[in-house]
Amino acid sequence: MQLSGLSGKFGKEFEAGRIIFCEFEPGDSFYLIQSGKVKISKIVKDKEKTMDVLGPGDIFGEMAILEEQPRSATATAVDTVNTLHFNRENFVTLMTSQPQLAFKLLVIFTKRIYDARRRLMILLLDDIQAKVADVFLMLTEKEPNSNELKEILLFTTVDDIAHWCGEPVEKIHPVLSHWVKIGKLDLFPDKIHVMHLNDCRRIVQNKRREMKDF
Amino acid sequence: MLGPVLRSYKAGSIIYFIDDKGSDIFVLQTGRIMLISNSLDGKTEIKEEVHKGEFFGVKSALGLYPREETAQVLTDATVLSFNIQSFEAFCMNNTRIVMQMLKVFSGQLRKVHRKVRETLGQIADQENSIELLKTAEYFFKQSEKEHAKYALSAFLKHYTNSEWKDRATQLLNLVNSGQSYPLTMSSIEEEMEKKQSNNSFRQPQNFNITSDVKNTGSMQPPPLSSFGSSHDSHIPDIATDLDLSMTDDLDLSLDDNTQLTPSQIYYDGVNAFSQQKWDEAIAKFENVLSIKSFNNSSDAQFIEKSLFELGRTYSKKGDTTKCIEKFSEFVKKYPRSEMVKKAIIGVAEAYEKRGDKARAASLFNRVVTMPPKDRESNYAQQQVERLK
Repeated sequence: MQLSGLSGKFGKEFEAGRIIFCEFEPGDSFYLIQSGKVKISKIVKDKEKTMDVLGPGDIFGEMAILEEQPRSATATAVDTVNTLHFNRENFVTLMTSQPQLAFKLLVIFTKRIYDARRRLMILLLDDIQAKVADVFLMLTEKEPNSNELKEILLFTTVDDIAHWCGEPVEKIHPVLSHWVKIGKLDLFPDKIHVMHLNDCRRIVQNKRREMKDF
Repeated sequence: MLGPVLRSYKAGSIIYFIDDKGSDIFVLQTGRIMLISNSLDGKTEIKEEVHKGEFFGVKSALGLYPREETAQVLTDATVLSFNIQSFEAFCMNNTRIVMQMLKVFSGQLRKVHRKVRETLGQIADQENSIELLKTAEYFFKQSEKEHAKYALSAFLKHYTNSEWKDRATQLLNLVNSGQSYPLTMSSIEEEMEKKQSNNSFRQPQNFNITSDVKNTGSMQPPPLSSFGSSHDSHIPDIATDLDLSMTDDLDLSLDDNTQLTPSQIYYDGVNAFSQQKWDEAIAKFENVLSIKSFNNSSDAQFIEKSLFELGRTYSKKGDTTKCIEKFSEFVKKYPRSEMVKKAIIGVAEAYEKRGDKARAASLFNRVVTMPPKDRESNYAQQQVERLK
């Protein structure tokens, strides 16, 4: 991308180890990495968990231009990081002068919309078993040819599943342990082996059909 | 690079089915096409007819996910069909359309997020401030002092009325003086319990919390209102992307001038500014300044911003008198603003334009002497050297 001309106007440099923004901090700007690496992390149960490491060309913090919501994660410079820094005020200037960036953002938004809608579909199910099954399906969908898969090893935790279901962990546990007991699941501290994806598909489909008829 | 291809479909045929995978993006040219989708809870079917010149199939093609609706041809129709490469090439030359799509998409995204939050019954705003404080304390406990400093400062900056302000200030002082996290300090949870039990004896006194809620709850200027203003679409054909499965996605409230909030007017002004429509921008910013009553304190920040932008706009317009007047008013009114150095620089530049170099130099010099040393100070320093 030919963005060099913008560095003077919008450039912002962070030394290695420097925090760029902090989880729960209200934000109104976003960043495009020009060089260096940025770690995206969250604090979960008193432990910092790395969600992603981003590199040149990646955009982060873009949700802030939608609404001044608190940041959903912490961004830290891994090494010396050069970014272009944008807010609502310089956004139009940037987008009109850099159509490739606007296009990139368009693609990111389509993905975000899909993910958010997919998440909402889970939350709208009115049955805890169906919710858990649909979380497994959602996580499976990230794999290529997900429709044909019969089983999957998901690198996720019970806490994550509870988070996606929008339910407290105490409510998720009985469902999972029941499935372990009847041989549909294997639970590990850091992963879950789902052995019968077709059962999950059936549970979710039936639930959706039932809700529709209702 | 191949351009789009013109395709014809017979009445009754299907261009794609829901859940199909496909990477083509379409624009309706002639005929009628209906998009049929399900609501997210699966309870209702949503039908929407594509308007002539509208895009459809954009999101699923770009996001590489299954089609979210079925596109059924009602009467014989012709469509332009882009593959992703030709669509991207098209976008490079039609930024306005990309901006409009961004606007539509952001509106959709905002709505889905809002719905997710509603469904989760989520998180009162004051909890965000507490979470930020907890994050800061986590960093402090881990001896990540720079991070802790950052998070505590962010807390104090954004939640000035918080009942946790003293705690945050105390912690910030400790980090700054190089000390470690005070193990004797009771945890936030313990403090909260204490406060609760106190409140059960007395009348609830948590005005702080409510003002906090107000503050953050209203910090939602209309998302992306700085995108091309919605009334001036002089592209007749391609109005908006119609790849919508939610009926009410287009946030048309922006068109309703009577209900514009200060932030909306402000961003309209910013938008006009970016298009170099100086007079329109001036009118918008003046409009913000003329608002007498505000619903909440965060609206008030747009007065400050608008006054500053007025100075900037007059400067661009070449009206040095007005520029000096507005920037000076800004400096007088908001001496502690982050933008105060920029405003003084603005005044200095206006004087220089008028040939008053001595005055310009003395103003630049004033910026140089103002702490902290930052980009503005450096710039001002250069100007002082130059004017010597």
